[in-house]
Amino acid sequence: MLNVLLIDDSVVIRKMLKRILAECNFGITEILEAGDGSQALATLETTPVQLMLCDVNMPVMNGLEFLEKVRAHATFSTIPVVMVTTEGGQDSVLKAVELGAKGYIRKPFTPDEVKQKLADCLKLAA
Amino acid sequence: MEVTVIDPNQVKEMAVDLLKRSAAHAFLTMTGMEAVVGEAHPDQPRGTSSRTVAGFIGWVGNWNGTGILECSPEFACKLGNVLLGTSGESLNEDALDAVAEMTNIIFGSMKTELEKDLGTMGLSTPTVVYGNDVGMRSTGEPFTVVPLTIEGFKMWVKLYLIRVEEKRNPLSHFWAGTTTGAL
Repeated sequence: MLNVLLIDDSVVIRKMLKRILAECNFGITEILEAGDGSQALATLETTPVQLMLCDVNMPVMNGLEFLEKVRAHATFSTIPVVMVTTEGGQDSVLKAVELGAKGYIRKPFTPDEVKQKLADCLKLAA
Repeated sequence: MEVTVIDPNQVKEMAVDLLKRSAAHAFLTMTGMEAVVGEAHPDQPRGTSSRTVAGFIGWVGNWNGTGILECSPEFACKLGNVLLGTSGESLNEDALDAVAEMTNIIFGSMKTELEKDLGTMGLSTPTVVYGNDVGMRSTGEPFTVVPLTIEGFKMWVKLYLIRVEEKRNPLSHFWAGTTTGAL
Protein backbone atom coordinates (compact mmCIF):
# COMPACT_ATOMS: atom_id res chain seq x y z
CA MET A 1 0.00 0.00 0.00
CA LEU A 2 1.28 3.46 -0.87
CA ASN A 3 -1.10 6.24 0.15
CA VAL A 4 0.22 9.73 -0.54
CA LEU A 5 -1.02 12.86 1.25
CA LEU A 6 -0.71 16.20 -0.58
CA ILE A 7 -0.72 19.19 1.77
CA ASP A 8 -0.97 22.60 0.10
CA ASP A 9 -3.47 25.46 0.31
CA SER A 10 -3.19 25.86 -3.49
CA VAL A 11 -5.78 23.74 -5.30
CA VAL A 12 -3.77 24.14 -8.51
CA ILE A 13 -0.61 22.73 -6.97
CA ARG A 14 -2.51 19.78 -5.49
CA LYS A 15 -4.08 19.05 -8.89
CA MET A 16 -0.70 19.33 -10.64
CA LEU A 17 0.97 17.01 -8.15
CA LYS A 18 -1.90 14.53 -8.48
CA ARG A 19 -1.36 14.44 -12.25
CA ILE A 20 2.38 13.90 -11.78
CA LEU A 21 1.85 11.15 -9.22
CA ALA A 22 -0.61 9.42 -11.53
CA GLU A 23 2.22 9.16 -14.10
CA CYS A 24 4.67 7.57 -11.63
CA ASN A 25 5.16 3.81 -11.42
CA PHE A 26 5.41 3.76 -7.65
CA GLY A 27 2.31 1.63 -7.03
CA ILE A 28 0.40 4.50 -5.47
CA THR A 29 -2.91 3.21 -4.10
CA GLU A 30 -4.58 6.44 -3.04
CA ILE A 31 -3.85 10.18 -3.20
CA LEU A 32 -5.33 12.22 -0.35
CA GLU A 33 -5.42 16.02 -0.06
CA ALA A 34 -5.34 18.58 2.72
CA GLY A 35 -5.42 22.38 2.55
CA ASP A 36 -3.24 22.99 5.61
CA GLY A 37 -1.34 21.22 8.36
CA SER A 38 -4.34 20.98 10.63
CA GLN A 39 -6.46 19.23 7.98
CA ALA A 40 -3.49 16.95 7.25
CA LEU A 41 -3.25 15.87 10.90
CA ALA A 42 -6.99 15.10 10.90
CA THR A 43 -6.51 12.96 7.77
CA LEU A 44 -3.59 11.09 9.33
CA GLU A 45 -5.80 10.16 12.31
CA THR A 46 -8.23 8.30 10.05
CA THR A 47 -6.26 7.06 7.02
CA PRO A 48 -2.87 5.32 6.85
CA VAL A 49 -0.38 7.33 4.78
CA GLN A 50 3.08 6.28 3.61
CA LEU A 51 4.36 9.50 2.02
CA MET A 52 3.55 13.21 2.33
CA LEU A 53 4.26 16.22 0.12
CA CYS A 54 3.89 19.43 2.06
CA ASP A 55 3.96 23.16 1.34
CA VAL A 56 5.50 25.58 3.87
CA ASN A 57 3.35 28.72 3.64
CA MET A 58 -0.19 27.69 4.55
CA PRO A 59 -2.88 29.25 6.75
CA VAL A 60 -4.06 27.74 10.07
CA MET A 61 -0.96 25.50 10.45
CA ASN A 62 2.07 26.03 8.20
CA GLY A 63 4.34 23.29 6.90
CA LEU A 64 7.08 23.69 9.50
CA GLU A 65 4.56 23.63 12.38
CA PHE A 66 3.04 20.51 10.82
CA LEU A 67 6.47 18.87 10.59
CA GLU A 68 7.05 19.55 14.31
CA LYS A 69 3.73 17.93 15.21
CA VAL A 70 4.39 14.92 12.98
CA ARG A 71 7.90 14.37 14.36
CA ALA A 72 6.54 14.44 17.91
CA HIS A 73 3.86 11.86 17.16
CA ALA A 74 4.58 8.22 17.94
CA THR A 75 2.80 6.86 14.86
CA PHE A 76 3.30 9.56 12.23
CA SER A 77 6.98 10.32 12.87
CA THR A 78 8.18 7.58 10.52
CA ILE A 79 6.22 8.84 7.48
CA PRO A 80 8.60 10.55 5.03
CA VAL A 81 7.73 14.18 4.24
CA VAL A 82 8.95 16.05 1.15
CA MET A 83 8.52 19.83 1.23
CA VAL A 84 7.22 21.50 -1.95
CA THR A 85 7.48 25.28 -1.63
CA THR A 86 8.65 28.68 -2.88
CA GLU A 87 10.53 29.07 0.42
CA GLY A 88 13.90 27.96 -0.91
CA GLY A 89 16.13 30.09 1.31
CA GLN A 90 18.88 28.30 3.20
CA ASP A 91 17.26 28.98 6.60
CA SER A 92 13.95 27.43 5.52
CA VAL A 93 15.64 24.37 4.03
CA LEU A 94 17.82 23.83 7.10
CA LYS A 95 14.85 24.23 9.40
CA ALA A 96 12.83 21.69 7.43
CA VAL A 97 15.72 19.21 7.44
CA GLU A 98 16.21 19.71 11.19
CA LEU A 99 12.54 18.93 11.65
CA GLY A 100 12.97 15.71 9.68
CA ALA A 101 11.93 16.52 6.10
CA LYS A 102 13.33 13.87 3.74
CA GLY A 103 13.43 16.09 0.67
CA TYR A 104 12.85 19.59 -0.62
CA ILE A 105 11.33 20.62 -3.97
CA ARG A 106 11.43 24.28 -4.83
CA LYS A 107 8.63 25.89 -6.84
CA PRO A 108 8.71 26.31 -9.81
CA PHE A 109 9.24 22.62 -10.50
CA THR A 110 9.09 20.29 -13.48
CA PRO A 111 7.26 16.94 -13.32
CA ASP A 112 10.60 15.13 -13.70
CA GLU A 113 12.03 16.94 -10.66
CA VAL A 114 9.09 15.82 -8.55
CA LYS A 115 9.26 12.22 -9.78
CA GLN A 116 13.00 12.01 -9.14
CA LYS A 117 12.75 13.45 -5.64
CA LEU A 118 9.94 11.06 -4.72
CA ALA A 119 11.85 8.10 -6.15
CA ASP A 120 14.89 9.06 -4.04
CA CYS A 121 12.72 9.48 -0.97
CA LEU A 122 10.96 6.12 -1.39
CA LYS A 123 14.32 4.36 -1.91
CA LEU A 124 15.55 5.82 1.38
CA ALA A 125 12.37 4.82 3.16
CA ALA A 126 12.52 1.22 1.87
CA MET B 1 30.49 45.33 13.95
CA GLU B 2 30.46 45.93 10.23
CA VAL B 3 27.36 47.69 8.93
CA THR B 4 26.39 47.39 5.31
CA VAL B 5 24.51 50.42 4.00
CA ILE B 6 22.09 49.44 1.30
CA ASP B 7 21.18 52.04 -1.33
CA PRO B 8 17.37 51.83 -1.73
CA ASN B 9 17.61 52.56 -5.46
CA GLN B 10 20.08 49.69 -5.91
CA VAL B 11 17.73 47.39 -4.02
CA LYS B 12 14.85 48.31 -6.29
CA GLU B 13 16.98 47.75 -9.41
CA MET B 14 18.13 44.40 -8.03
CA ALA B 15 14.52 43.43 -7.27
CA VAL B 16 13.44 44.26 -10.83
CA ASP B 17 16.28 42.16 -12.28
CA LEU B 18 15.36 39.26 -9.99
CA LEU B 19 11.72 39.65 -10.96
CA LYS B 20 12.49 39.46 -14.70
CA ARG B 21 14.49 36.24 -14.19
CA SER B 22 11.98 34.78 -11.77
CA ALA B 23 9.01 35.38 -14.09
CA ALA B 24 10.75 33.93 -17.16
CA HIS B 25 12.00 30.91 -15.19
CA ALA B 26 8.61 30.27 -13.56
CA PHE B 27 6.68 30.23 -16.84
CA LEU B 28 9.26 28.11 -18.66
CA THR B 29 9.56 25.58 -15.83
CA MET B 30 5.89 25.20 -14.96
CA THR B 31 4.34 25.53 -18.43
CA GLY B 32 7.10 25.05 -20.99
CA MET B 33 6.18 28.44 -22.43
CA GLU B 34 8.93 30.96 -23.10
CA ALA B 35 8.36 34.52 -21.87
CA VAL B 36 9.83 37.45 -23.82
CA VAL B 37 10.70 39.99 -21.14
CA GLY B 38 10.42 43.68 -22.01
CA GLU B 39 11.98 46.77 -20.47
CA ALA B 40 10.82 47.77 -17.01
CA HIS B 41 9.06 51.12 -16.70
CA PRO B 42 6.88 53.04 -14.20
CA ASP B 43 3.23 52.06 -14.27
CA GLN B 44 0.94 54.25 -16.33
CA PRO B 45 -2.81 54.07 -16.91
CA ARG B 46 -3.38 52.20 -20.16
CA GLY B 47 -6.38 54.32 -21.13
CA THR B 48 -8.42 51.60 -22.84
CA SER B 49 -11.17 49.53 -21.33
CA SER B 50 -10.08 45.96 -20.90
CA ARG B 51 -10.96 42.73 -19.19
CA THR B 52 -8.34 41.87 -16.63
CA VAL B 53 -7.30 39.03 -14.37
CA ALA B 54 -4.74 40.10 -11.75
CA GLY B 55 -3.06 38.09 -9.01
CA PHE B 56 -1.94 40.10 -5.95
CA ILE B 57 0.54 39.13 -3.27
CA GLY B 58 2.26 41.07 -0.50
CA TRP B 59 5.24 40.71 1.77
CA VAL B 60 6.47 42.41 4.93
CA GLY B 61 9.84 42.68 6.64
CA ASN B 62 12.54 45.37 6.61
CA TRP B 63 11.16 45.99 3.14
CA ASN B 64 7.46 45.77 2.37
CA GLY B 65 5.92 45.32 -1.03
CA THR B 66 3.15 44.20 -3.33
CA GLY B 67 3.43 42.13 -6.46
CA ILE B 68 0.87 41.85 -9.22
CA LEU B 69 0.63 39.50 -12.20
CA GLU B 70 -1.87 41.00 -14.65
CA CYS B 71 -3.10 39.22 -17.76
CA SER B 72 -6.13 38.74 -19.97
CA PRO B 73 -8.89 36.22 -19.18
CA GLU B 74 -7.85 34.34 -22.34
CA PHE B 75 -4.31 33.85 -21.05
CA ALA B 76 -5.63 32.89 -17.61
CA CYS B 77 -7.69 30.12 -19.30
CA LYS B 78 -4.67 28.98 -21.29
CA LEU B 79 -2.52 28.96 -18.15
CA GLY B 80 -5.07 26.88 -16.25
CA ASN B 81 -5.36 24.43 -19.13
CA VAL B 82 -1.57 24.05 -19.51
CA LEU B 83 -0.94 23.59 -15.79
CA LEU B 84 -3.80 21.16 -15.26
CA GLY B 85 -4.12 19.40 -18.61
CA THR B 86 -7.68 20.65 -19.08
CA SER B 87 -9.44 22.34 -22.00
CA GLY B 88 -11.63 24.99 -20.40
CA GLU B 89 -12.77 27.80 -22.66
CA SER B 90 -14.13 30.27 -20.13
CA LEU B 91 -12.73 31.94 -17.03
CA ASN B 92 -13.29 29.33 -14.36
CA GLU B 93 -11.86 28.56 -10.90
CA ASP B 94 -8.95 26.62 -12.39
CA ALA B 95 -7.90 29.62 -14.50
CA LEU B 96 -8.15 32.04 -11.56
CA ASP B 97 -6.30 29.66 -9.23
CA ALA B 98 -3.60 29.23 -11.88
CA VAL B 99 -3.00 33.00 -11.98
CA ALA B 100 -2.89 33.10 -8.18
CA GLU B 101 -0.35 30.29 -8.05
CA MET B 102 1.91 31.79 -10.73
CA THR B 103 1.80 35.08 -8.79
CA ASN B 104 2.85 33.18 -5.66
CA ILE B 105 5.67 31.37 -7.46
CA ILE B 106 7.07 34.40 -9.31
CA PHE B 107 7.10 36.76 -6.34
CA GLY B 108 7.90 34.01 -3.83
CA SER B 109 11.06 33.15 -5.78
CA MET B 110 12.00 36.83 -6.05
CA LYS B 111 11.44 37.27 -2.32
CA THR B 112 13.62 34.26 -1.46
CA GLU B 113 16.53 35.77 -3.39
CA LEU B 114 16.00 39.27 -1.94
CA GLU B 115 16.07 37.83 1.59
CA LYS B 116 19.79 37.10 1.20
CA ASP B 117 20.41 40.88 1.35
CA LEU B 118 17.29 42.33 2.95
CA GLY B 119 16.50 39.81 5.70
CA THR B 120 13.46 37.62 6.23
CA MET B 121 10.17 38.71 4.73
CA GLY B 122 6.79 37.09 5.26
CA LEU B 123 4.68 36.39 2.17
CA SER B 124 0.89 36.74 2.08
CA THR B 125 -1.66 34.41 0.49
CA PRO B 126 -2.25 35.40 -3.14
CA THR B 127 -5.56 36.97 -4.14
CA VAL B 128 -7.03 37.20 -7.63
CA VAL B 129 -9.09 40.15 -8.87
CA TYR B 130 -10.93 39.92 -12.17
CA GLY B 131 -13.34 42.06 -14.13
CA ASN B 132 -13.68 44.94 -16.58
CA ASP B 133 -11.73 48.19 -16.34
CA VAL B 134 -9.93 47.18 -13.17
CA GLY B 135 -7.90 50.14 -11.92
CA MET B 136 -5.02 49.80 -9.50
CA ARG B 137 -3.25 52.38 -7.42
CA SER B 138 -0.60 52.42 -4.74
CA THR B 139 0.24 55.27 -2.40
CA GLY B 140 3.65 56.85 -2.88
CA GLU B 141 5.74 55.73 -5.83
CA PRO B 142 4.12 54.05 -8.83
CA PHE B 143 4.58 50.34 -9.43
CA THR B 144 7.45 49.25 -11.65
CA VAL B 145 6.03 47.27 -14.56
CA VAL B 146 7.83 44.47 -16.40
CA PRO B 147 5.95 43.59 -19.60
CA LEU B 148 5.98 39.98 -20.77
CA THR B 149 4.84 38.38 -23.98
CA ILE B 150 4.07 34.66 -24.01
CA GLU B 151 2.87 33.02 -27.24
CA GLY B 152 1.36 36.30 -28.40
CA PHE B 153 -0.34 37.07 -25.07
CA LYS B 154 0.70 40.25 -23.30
CA MET B 155 0.89 40.45 -19.54
CA TRP B 156 2.44 42.66 -16.91
CA VAL B 157 4.35 41.82 -13.76
CA LYS B 158 4.20 44.78 -11.39
CA LEU B 159 6.35 45.46 -8.36
CA TYR B 160 5.98 47.90 -5.48
CA LEU B 161 8.80 47.79 -2.96
CA ILE B 162 9.53 50.19 -0.13
CA ARG B 163 11.88 50.22 2.82
CA VAL B 164 10.01 50.37 6.10
CA GLU B 165 11.96 53.50 7.23
CA GLU B 166 10.91 55.32 4.04
CA LYS B 167 7.30 54.39 4.71
CA ARG B 168 7.48 55.66 8.31
CA ASN B 169 9.06 59.04 7.56
CA PRO B 170 5.83 61.03 7.03
CA LEU B 171 4.67 59.88 10.49
CA SER B 172 7.97 60.29 12.32
CA HIS B 173 6.88 63.45 14.16
CA PHE B 174 3.73 61.69 15.35
CA TRP B 175 5.70 58.73 16.76
CA ALA B 176 8.27 61.03 18.45
CA GLY B 177 5.37 62.90 20.10
CA THR B 178 3.81 59.77 21.55
CA THR B 179 7.07 58.37 22.92
CA THR B 180 7.85 61.60 24.82
CA GLY B 181 4.31 61.74 26.21
CA ALA B 182 3.37 64.91 24.37
CA LEU B 183 -0.19 63.67 23.85
